[in-house]
Amino acid sequence: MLPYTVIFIGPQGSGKGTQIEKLKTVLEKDDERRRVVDIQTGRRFRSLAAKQETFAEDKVAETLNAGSLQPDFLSAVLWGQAMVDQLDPKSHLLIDGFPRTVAQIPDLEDAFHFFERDVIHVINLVTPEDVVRDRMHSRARADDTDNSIEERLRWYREDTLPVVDFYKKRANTFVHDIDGTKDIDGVHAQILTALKLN
Amino acid sequence: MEYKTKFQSIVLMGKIASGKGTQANAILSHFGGVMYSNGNKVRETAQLPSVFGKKMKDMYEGGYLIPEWIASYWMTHALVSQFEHERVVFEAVAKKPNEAELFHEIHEWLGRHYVVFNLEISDDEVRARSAARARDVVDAPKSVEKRLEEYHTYTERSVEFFRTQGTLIDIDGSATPEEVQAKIFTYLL
Repeated sequence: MLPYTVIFIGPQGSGKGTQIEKLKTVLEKDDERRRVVDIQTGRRFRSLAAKQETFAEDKVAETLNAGSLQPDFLSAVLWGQAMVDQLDPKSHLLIDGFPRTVAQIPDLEDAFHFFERDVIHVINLVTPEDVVRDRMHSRARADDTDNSIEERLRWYREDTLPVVDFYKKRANTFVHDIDGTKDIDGVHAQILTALKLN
Repeated sequence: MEYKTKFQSIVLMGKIASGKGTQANAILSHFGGVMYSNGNKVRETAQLPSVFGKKMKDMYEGGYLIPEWIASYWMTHALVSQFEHERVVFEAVAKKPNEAELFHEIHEWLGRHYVVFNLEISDDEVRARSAARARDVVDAPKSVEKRLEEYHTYTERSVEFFRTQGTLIDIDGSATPEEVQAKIFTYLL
């Protein structure tokens, strides 16, 4: 099996984190010697914010609580660190949380080129906004206020959907549209089929 | 460390052989802090046993330019994590305008004071100094011309960017090292 490079794209509440965990388990079982590197910048931001030990962590927490986007350079330093420390040519790479804007694409393309990962898969979790709102209201994470939910939906529409369009035109790229309204196992099954893992 | 300054980041810019290294060391010994240079980062990383280290080694020995995302990653990491509470003297960063903009944006976000010293010398002075010191292959005439061209193509635009931000100080780099140092210190104190 060739190493997979998979980017998960979907609005908040589309289950990206859960689906990455499930896919990771499948890939790890398939070949125990092969490392699965998962980079989820959202989780990394939240764990940085929880520490609040240094000034940068304070600033991260402040931005998270205001529901605004972290600056691009911070997300780049988080994924850069993970790739530099963990990635080897055989490992699978699962990505969530970036690129969130078209502006974040060039650095990541540069890194894919450096690590010789030109073939990529994009799991596009297509989930209507009403479904997302219902799910967000029921999960009640500290940074999920009505305002921040609406703000993040707007960013997704305006900034992140163009990223999907970019990947639809990119060479050596497979964009898989997945129905994100299904239950967890239903979505997982679609992902396995898309990646030819079943 | 006998002196104090409000600047937490101090950048030295200038053409090859303009005295950046000499002045960076003078600042460090009188004001304290750590030195940051992409060249050192490349050499350190090329020693690492990791996959990343091996790739950097090939790149360094092949004479390739380091990819922009790595230069940006290192610089950001140094500022927001590694040396967040220390003074950092930067030699040879922000050679390209994108990197200069990133450097400025991070400092604004952190609320960290920085200043850029632009050590100005003519192209002929660069040629004369490089020929006289012949420190390594980089001082060979062909390499000097290439680096001068890079300076005029990219770095001049970084210098202009810092000038528009009001963070750039021009220094006559053709003066003696002591005179240049005195001017820099006057500004820092």
